[in-house]
Amino acid sequence: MRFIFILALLSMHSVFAGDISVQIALNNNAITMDDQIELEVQVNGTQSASDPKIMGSENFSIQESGTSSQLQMINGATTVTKVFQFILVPKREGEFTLGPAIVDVDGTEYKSQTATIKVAKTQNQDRTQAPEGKNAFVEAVVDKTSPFVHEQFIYTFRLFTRAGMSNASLDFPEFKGLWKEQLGDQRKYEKMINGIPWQVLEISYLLTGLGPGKVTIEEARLLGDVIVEGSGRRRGHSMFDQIFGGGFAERRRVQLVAHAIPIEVRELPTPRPDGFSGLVGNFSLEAKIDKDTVKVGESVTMTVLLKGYGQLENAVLPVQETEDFKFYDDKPTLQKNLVPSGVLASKMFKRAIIPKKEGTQTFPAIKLVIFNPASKSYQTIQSESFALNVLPGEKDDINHTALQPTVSSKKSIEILGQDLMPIRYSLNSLNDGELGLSAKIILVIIILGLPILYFFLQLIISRRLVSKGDIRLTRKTKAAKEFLDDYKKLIQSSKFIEDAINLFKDYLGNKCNVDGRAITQFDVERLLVPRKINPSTIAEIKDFFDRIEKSQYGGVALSADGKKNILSKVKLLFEKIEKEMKS
Amino acid sequence: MNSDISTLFVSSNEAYNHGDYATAIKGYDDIISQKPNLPDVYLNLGNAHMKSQHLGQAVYYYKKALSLSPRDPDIRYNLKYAHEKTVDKIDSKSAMGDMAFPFTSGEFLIFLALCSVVMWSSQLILLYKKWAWPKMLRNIFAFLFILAAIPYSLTLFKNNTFGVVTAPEVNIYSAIGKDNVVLFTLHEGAEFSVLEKMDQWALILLADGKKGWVSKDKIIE
Repeated sequence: MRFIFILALLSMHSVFAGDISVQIALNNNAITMDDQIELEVQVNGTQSASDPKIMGSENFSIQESGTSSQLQMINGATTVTKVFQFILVPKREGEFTLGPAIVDVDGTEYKSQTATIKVAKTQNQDRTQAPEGKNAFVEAVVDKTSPFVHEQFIYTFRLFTRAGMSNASLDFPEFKGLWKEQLGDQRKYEKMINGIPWQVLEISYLLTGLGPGKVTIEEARLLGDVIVEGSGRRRGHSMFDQIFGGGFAERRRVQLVAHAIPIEVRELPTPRPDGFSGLVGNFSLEAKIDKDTVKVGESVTMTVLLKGYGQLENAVLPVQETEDFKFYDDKPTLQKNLVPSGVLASKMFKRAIIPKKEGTQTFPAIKLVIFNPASKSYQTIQSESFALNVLPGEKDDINHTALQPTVSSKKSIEILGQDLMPIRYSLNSLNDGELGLSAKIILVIIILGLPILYFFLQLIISRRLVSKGDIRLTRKTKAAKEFLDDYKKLIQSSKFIEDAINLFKDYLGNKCNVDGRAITQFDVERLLVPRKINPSTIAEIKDFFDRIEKSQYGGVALSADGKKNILSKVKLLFEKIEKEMKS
Repeated sequence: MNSDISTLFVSSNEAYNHGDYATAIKGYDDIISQKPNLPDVYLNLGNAHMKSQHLGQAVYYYKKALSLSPRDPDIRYNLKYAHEKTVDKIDSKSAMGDMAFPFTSGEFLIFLALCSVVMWSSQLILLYKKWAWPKMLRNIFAFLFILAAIPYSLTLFKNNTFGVVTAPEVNIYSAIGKDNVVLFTLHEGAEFSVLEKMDQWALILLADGKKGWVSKDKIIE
C-alpha cells in the first residue's frame, strides 16, 4: 500500500515537472526613489523549486516578504504553484531591466521573462502633495493636455489612503468627445509622500481626441467610508486589506473629488502629405521574410511589425502589388502593453508573397506616412526591401499548365481593399416605393371582404339548391299558402263539399308529403300521430272526415249556415295543425 | 416628382462626391423630412455619416433603408460593413435570432390579397362543381396565406422602435438618473429596442435581454 502511495506521489511529481514555468510580476513599474515595489516570482508546476535568483537586482535592495504554495484540481487537472514575494527599494534612478528570475528544480534551471522599471527623482517627478490632516485623497492627471487629433494620452486616477476605505463607489467621467480604453486592471502599490507611506489604488485610461477643439474631462467622484486612524483597528498587512479593509474600526463617510481637466485637442498641421496613413504617434516598421529562395507560384511569408506609441487599431499595410509579385494578407494581430514611457502598441501583419517570374527579384520596401506628435511633423517610415531568389516552378506544374491553357491564363480576382457600396444617384430613388395608406386599406378590405362575400353567396346558393332539391320541404312550406289561397275561393264553389274536403286533404297531403286526395279518416291517425298532433285534434279531424263524407255521399243539400260551419271547421283544423305540427 | 427635392438630391450627391459630408447629410435629412419612405436616400445618408465617422447614425440609417428595401444587397453590405466597426457583441436571446423578413409590409399585404382572391374564388367554384383542381388550388393558397400571415402579424406586433448608440461610450443605468447603478456600458453603433421614454431618458432592451435606462442625447431612435 505504502509502495503504491509513493508511486502515485512520484507520478504526480513527474506530471508537474513536465509543465514547469516561471513568471515575474510587479505591482508598479514607474516609481520614485521614495517608493517601493512588490515583486512576485510565480513557479508553476512544482513545489520543489529552489529560492529564485533574480538577475538585474543590483539596482535595488531586495527583501523577501513571504512564500506561498497552492494546489488546485480543476476538471481532473492538477496545478501546483509556488509564489515567492519580495519588496524592492530602488538604490538609484534610471530605467532598469529586472529579471529573468531563475529557479532550480531537480538540477534543471528555469527562467522567467524580464520586466522594466523606471525610477525617477523624488523631487522633480513626484508632484503629489498629500493634504494635511486627511487620511484619504484622490487625484486625476493626464500626461498631455494639448494632444493632436488621434494622438493617444493617458488619464490616471489615483486614490491615496493611509488607514483604508470601504463601501467605495466611484463615479467616473464619461470622457465626452474622447475615445477611451481602460489600461489593464487597477493597480495597488505603496508610495512614500514626505516620508509617510500611502496605499495607492490607480486606474488608467488610454484616451484619444476624436476631433479638434476643447473638451473637458469631468470630475471623478469617490464616495466611501474612511477608517479613522487611531480608532483601535490594527492596520492590515496586505494591500487589499489596507485599501478596502473590513473590520470593526470607526468609519466616516466621505466624498473625494478629482477636479475636471480641460483638454485642447489640436488639429494636425496642413497641408497633409500625399499617402498620409492617418496614423498619429511615434512608430517604427520592421519586416522579415521566412525564406529567401522560392519557386515560381510558391509563397513566401513576410511578417511586418508596426509598433510604437499611438493608436494602431485602424492601421493597414499599403498595397504593394507589382508585375513580378502578387500577395495575400492575413488578419493582423494587435497588442498593447503598458510600459513606463506610455502604452506600447504593436500590430503584426502577415503577407504571403507569390513571385510570378523566376530569377533574382526584389520585393519593394513598405512605406507609411505618419504624423509624429513629438517632432510635430509628418514622417515616412519604411521597412527593408528583400531580394528573392526565384527558381523555376515544378515541371509537373508547367506541363499541367500547358495542358490547360484556358484555366491557367485566368487570374483570380484579388481583393485589395474594402469600402462602402456607393451612394445612389438616380432620380428614380425619389420615387416612393412603399405602398400608400389608401392602397393598404384597399388590400385589407379585399383580404377581409372576400370571406364575407363568399359566405353571403354560399347562403343564397344553398337556399336555392335546397328549395330546388327538397320536394318534401317545398310542399311543406308551400302547404299553408296554397291552402289559404284556395280557401278564399271555396265559398263560391259550385261543388262546395267536394272542394272543401279536397282542400283539406291537399293541405294534409302537402304537410305529410303524401297524396292528399287518397287520405281517408282511417289514414289520419297513422299520418298525424308521428307528427305530434294532439289526439283531440286527430279525433276532430276524423270526425270531420266522417261527417263531410256522409254529407257528400248522402245527397244532403247544404244551407248557407251549413257551408259557413264547414268553412270555419276547415279553418279551425288548419290552424290547429299549423300550430301543433313540429316536423 | 417634386423638382425641389430633385435639386436637393442632386446637390447633396455632389457635396458627397466632393467630400463635404456635412452638407450632404443636411440635404438628405431635408429630403427625408419631406418624403420619409425613400430607401436610397437613407442609404446615401448612412454613407455620408459613415464617411464622417458617425458610426451610430450610419447604422441607424442603414437599418431604416433596409426596413424599406429589405432585399437590397448594397444596403445589406453597407450595414454589415458598419457592424464590423462596432465594439459590442450582442447575442440574440430569441430562438428565432435576429430574424429580418425579406419583404416589406406592403409586399406582404399584396401577397396576402392575391392568396385570398385565389383561395375564395376556388372555394366559390366548389359550391357549384365538385372538381378536384379548385380544391387543390384552394388548399395550396390557404397554406400560403397562413404562411405569409404569420410573419406579417409578427411585423405588426413587433416593437419597431429601434435605436442606436451615437456616443463613443454610454452608461446604461438601473433607473432614470446618473445617481443610479451603472448596469453596463455600450459603445457607438450598438443597437437596441426602445421600450419606454420618459423626459430625457429611454428604457432600452438589447437583443440578449439586457435592459436599462440611457440618456436620450446619446442615442438616435
